[in-house]
Amino acid sequence: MIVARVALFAALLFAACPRAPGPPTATPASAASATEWRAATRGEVTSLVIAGEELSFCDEAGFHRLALRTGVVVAAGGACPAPPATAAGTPEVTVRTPELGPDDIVEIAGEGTSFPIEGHARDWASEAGKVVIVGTGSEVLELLPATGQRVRLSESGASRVAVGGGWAAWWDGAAVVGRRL
Amino acid sequence: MAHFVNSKGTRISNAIIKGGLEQPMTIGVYGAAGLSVGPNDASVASITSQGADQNQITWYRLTGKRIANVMVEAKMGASVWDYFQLVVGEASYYGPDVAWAKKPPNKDGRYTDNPNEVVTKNTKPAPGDVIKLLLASWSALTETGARVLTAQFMHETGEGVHCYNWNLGNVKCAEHETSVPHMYLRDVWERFSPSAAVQMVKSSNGLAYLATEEECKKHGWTHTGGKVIAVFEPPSYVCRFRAYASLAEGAQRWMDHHRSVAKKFPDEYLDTVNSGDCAETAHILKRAQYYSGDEGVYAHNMTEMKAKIDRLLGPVKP
Repeated sequence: MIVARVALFAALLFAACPRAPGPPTATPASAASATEWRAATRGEVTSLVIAGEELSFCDEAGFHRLALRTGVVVAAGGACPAPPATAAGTPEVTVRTPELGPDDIVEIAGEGTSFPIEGHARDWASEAGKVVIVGTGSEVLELLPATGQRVRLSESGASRVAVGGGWAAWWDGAAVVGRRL
Repeated sequence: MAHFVNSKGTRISNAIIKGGLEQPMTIGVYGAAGLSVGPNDASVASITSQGADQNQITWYRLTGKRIANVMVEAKMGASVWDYFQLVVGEASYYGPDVAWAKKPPNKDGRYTDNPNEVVTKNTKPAPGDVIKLLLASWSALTETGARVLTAQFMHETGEGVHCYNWNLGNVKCAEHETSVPHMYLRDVWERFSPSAAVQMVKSSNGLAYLATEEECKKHGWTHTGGKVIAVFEPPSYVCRFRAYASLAEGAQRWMDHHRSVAKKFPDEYLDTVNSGDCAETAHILKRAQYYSGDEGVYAHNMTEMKAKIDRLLGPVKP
């Protein structure tokens, strides 16, 4: 009984304390299937990259490297690497705003069919033009040029997205989300 | 004599000014040197200096902290030189004044000090130049075909009136894409659910607001299904678009995409374009999802533009 009370007190104390700077904690959507995880962030996320089996991002707590499949932190807190000086986004994807209207159209190099989307794209990423992830103010979309299909990955907007290794990732303003495609 | 001004520089001495809870507003003091400026009750509002401009106005960001009235004073010692009353009420996100960080471009015509930002300039391509460019880079295209595609481009850009820095079709930059030549366009609007729209405005750092019905009517912005319109202003990243150095550079993507459409519809597109049939070209472009608007309107406008080009350039030489 005493042990239970101490554990409860410790849990309450932990919950009441303000979040200290430190590595993000990944929360799988379901323990049984690691098809999606969330890692809380601090402040604005300024880069989000998938490379090999890892995802990295920068926020106010510094540089973080996470295992792509689980969201488990591999390294955290270091200085953010400088972005490449010539980074030119995702050259195989073009997003345009016809007539400066409320919606955008996504074009993928070499594909004759475009993808009209609702709202304005905030960020986009492509895996060799085969899978394109687009974050808007109110959703995250997976576009598949080969079939013309689109899949809604999230009903929350995202201003940072990444794709690679069969996974998509995005920042929704509070957490980085990883999702197996 | 020192006095308070609003964000537009209009004097607000002794006035009653409404503010929103936790909603920053920009105010200024002309001739503030040596004065202390702020609310006489710090529990009602907070103030932070933004620095002085070249017109001797020192700018401040004033934010309501609780619903109450407070006097905002410019003082020297105990002597009050000027004041106004701030009435802090519930926050409202409607109207351009909510975009407290919205500002005109700097004296050099730019909004930021990013070396890749270029001044936004209208670049109206001459139809003849677009046709020459198309014919030089796409050998399968006839002069009639080049006129059809030029008509399509002219429709998309309002005959070039809405073409800036040779950006054909308003090609965007991603949120983090600042290392390429870019420009800013004003009044970029988007439809949201009311809660998402408020969230957008709140997270815009003073560069967005919700459009009033009056503004929607004025600009022709339509919204249905309970959605509201959020408007973004430079230098919000939502207003950032690519800038190109020449028509040839800006037209490259546009021409490449038409080539891709031709590849996607190999038995139809090029023949249709070269035949001069604007309505059928518009139909194929609709199938390619090049545009999301009404096909009839698109076809009509393309046909009109083609007729205009034909009048301008005369008959196609055999």
